[in-house]
Amino acid sequence: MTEFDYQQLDDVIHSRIRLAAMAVLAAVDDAEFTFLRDRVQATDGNLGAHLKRLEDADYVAVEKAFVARKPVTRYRLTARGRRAFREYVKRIDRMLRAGQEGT
Amino acid sequence: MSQQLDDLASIRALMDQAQRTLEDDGRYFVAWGLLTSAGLSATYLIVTQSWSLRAVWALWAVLVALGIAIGLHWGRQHRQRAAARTVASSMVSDTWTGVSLGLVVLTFAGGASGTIPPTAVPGVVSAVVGVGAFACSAMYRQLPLKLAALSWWAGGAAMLIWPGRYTILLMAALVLALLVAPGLVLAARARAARASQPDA
Repeated sequence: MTEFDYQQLDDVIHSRIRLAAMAVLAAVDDAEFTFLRDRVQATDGNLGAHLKRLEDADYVAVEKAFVARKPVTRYRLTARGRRAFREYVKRIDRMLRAGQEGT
Repeated sequence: MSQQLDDLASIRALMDQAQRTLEDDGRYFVAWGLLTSAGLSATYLIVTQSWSLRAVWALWAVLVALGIAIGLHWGRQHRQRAAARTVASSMVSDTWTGVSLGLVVLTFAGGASGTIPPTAVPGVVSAVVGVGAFACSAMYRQLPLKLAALSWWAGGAAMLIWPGRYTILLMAALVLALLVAPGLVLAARARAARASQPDA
């Protein structure tokens, strides 16, 4: 296995929208769907589909509730998701550093 | 390669931005400010009319209990309604909770027991509130809050150096200028931000 082995990268995270959503969630305790959408700048449908993929992988947990009679969906990273994100960033960082040293 | 490096840098910027998200509609500042300035005005009246000092302690016990009850209720509401719960908002909340509890100890244990002379209480309170404002200024990233901290300390120093009944009124003026006014500014900003938010 080399530093450049693409199989090292978690393909659940390796999409720009999922990576951005994971990054936002890694920086907060939890966040509403609208907060994530505004930060990631994705459409509702697109972001929803990507978050479902993260939820299926048990990387994010979802909590639906009614606040002031309005439905609110909150997302947070699970412990597994947090570990996976840390590992992903570490690996991509290592890969890019190795690339820079090689040039 | 540079594209990936840019992506990684923007991910870090996104995280940093999210971490610093701080939603504050200023209502704690306004509520505590109004309660405190009402209490200070009443205290001035009691002191100048030479009524029982016990009335001062009873008044403040009621006001502080009311402030804590309002704070707990709004805190619960805020946790449910905040678009994101962030480190910055926890730090601000913990700083003000710590400052408030410290003030309760200083004023009630210190002031009521006489360890801190009653005439020194406004100065001590002012100096401690300055610590809260200074600690939070970095999280709000607002220079005016840093200047407010300096004003709290300057006011506290003046009150401790030249004690007297006037300190009660000076304290009330500081509360209105440095707590209620910034609270109203934050409230106006929060309303403007909500108005510019697209519907979910």
